[in-house]
Amino acid sequence: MSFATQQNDLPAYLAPSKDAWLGTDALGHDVLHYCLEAAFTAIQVGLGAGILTLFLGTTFGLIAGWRGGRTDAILIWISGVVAAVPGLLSALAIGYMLNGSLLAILLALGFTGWIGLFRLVRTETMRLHGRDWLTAAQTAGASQTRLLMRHVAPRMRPLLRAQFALQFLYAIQAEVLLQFLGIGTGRPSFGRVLANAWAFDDLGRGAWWPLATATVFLSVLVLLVRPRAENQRPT
Amino acid sequence: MIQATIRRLIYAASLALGASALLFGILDSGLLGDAAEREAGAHATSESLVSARLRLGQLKIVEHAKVPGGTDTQHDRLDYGALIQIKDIHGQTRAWAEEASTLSRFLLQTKNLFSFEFGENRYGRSIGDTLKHRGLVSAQLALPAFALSTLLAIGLAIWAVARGVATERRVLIFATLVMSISAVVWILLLRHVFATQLDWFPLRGLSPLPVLIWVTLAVWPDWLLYRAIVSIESQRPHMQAARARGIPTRTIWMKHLLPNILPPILTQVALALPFLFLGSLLLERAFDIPGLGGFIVQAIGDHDHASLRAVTFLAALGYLFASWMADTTATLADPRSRGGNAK
Repeated sequence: MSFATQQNDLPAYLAPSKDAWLGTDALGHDVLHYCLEAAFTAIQVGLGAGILTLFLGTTFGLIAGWRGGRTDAILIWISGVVAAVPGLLSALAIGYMLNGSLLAILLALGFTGWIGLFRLVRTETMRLHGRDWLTAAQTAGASQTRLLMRHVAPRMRPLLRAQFALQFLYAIQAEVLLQFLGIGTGRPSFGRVLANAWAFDDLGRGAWWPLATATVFLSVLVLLVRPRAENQRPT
Repeated sequence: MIQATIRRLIYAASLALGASALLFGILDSGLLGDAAEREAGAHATSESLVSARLRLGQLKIVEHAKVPGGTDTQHDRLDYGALIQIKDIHGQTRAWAEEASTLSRFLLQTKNLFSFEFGENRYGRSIGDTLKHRGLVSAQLALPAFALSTLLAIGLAIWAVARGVATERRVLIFATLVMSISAVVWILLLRHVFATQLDWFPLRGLSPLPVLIWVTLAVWPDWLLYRAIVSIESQRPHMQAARARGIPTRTIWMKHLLPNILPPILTQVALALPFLFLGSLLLERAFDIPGLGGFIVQAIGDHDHASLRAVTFLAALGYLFASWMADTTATLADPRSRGGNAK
């Protein structure tokens, strides 16, 4: 997906007008088009990191909570190690080593974000383990994978939905921060709009529109997703 | 108690070892790319690449040339053809090196990290000394800001809960709106208004402005958490009983509420402490404050692996120490969590 006008044909710092509805930035980007593309990047990052987190956190959480014993102890230890290293620093290091591609940012955010979900899913699985209906399914010959995928995981849907929304929010905000700090995907990003506004002193030049547009786009995205992150009650 | 403490320490040490392995995996193992090539840059010469490999421990010196340009005859068994020459700026051979194995690199790196020997960065400066100096600068920003934001958040949480649901909801809406705007935007905006437009504070360096911006940004997520803690605690039966007996509200809050909300708040504070310098990452960059946050950003910009590794490992150690502190302070603040003595 790509939106038309990106840059160069328009002069820098063109105020909002008929030619560019929300003006242009220091590099001549049409701010509206650039922010639409940035929103698309943010959504891609949010969805990608959310799915990766959901996969890692749920898989490890189900295994640890179901198997218990040594498997649980090992997975708890691994999660402790990952949690000990600050998530943002891990993300910075991974993003930096992989040269800031979109995949790098997704891997970095997914790798650092699964711990919270892992702990919740593990606790929930332990709580459900041994329930009568699970024992009944087991007696009826259901395999462990089937028990986990068809009977345990579906009961955590509200929790998983809320955690996915939380991870989505974390990912888009972290992506802005990473881009602002120079770990970039090379794609249009809100972080880059903010970094340019900072580097070219947009506010000092009276050009408020790039910063204002990026802020409104980003805030709307956050406010739309935030309510989904509220309800974590398992069924 | 002693046994439990020892067990906890051993577990924390194993986590620190794991953190070291994780950092090695990310930065030095080669899984995510060659660290030396990243550090030496796109236009690296073979000499600068060898120099980066030496600094990162990828090469191990096996012999120094006694006569510049020559080989040491004491080690005839060495296969010089398989070794890498380390040359000085005049092109004279100074030493011979071989590739270090992954395991030996990991062991050496772990030993250095655990003995706090962080070595030198690519400009030859001691990383340990730089961290000490910059850590003190960061502390001057982070500690007052953190103390202020925590106290303000606790005060606001108690006030909002005491005022009732309507006030809580209004503050919640305000907090949500503030948090929906990126911290970067707030920093750019407040810096522009208070330092450029109004000229109340300097544009660069440590001043009350970055502290105030920190407090403005940090108080709302903290408020959300503390409001939940205060709200749950204020609805407990003993609080309702105290209210029913007509005990003055002030006494109830001071004698019954505060002591009970203290353990979770202390835990939160203890766990936040080691990550404080990360919170100043943006502010230090925005205000050109030479602290640890700026150091991390600079290390990434300069492709300085050793500095990045050192600061990340210290943060991990700080987190593990803080977890232990959190457990201890929670036990001290709440005798019920000691357990074992109930009859």
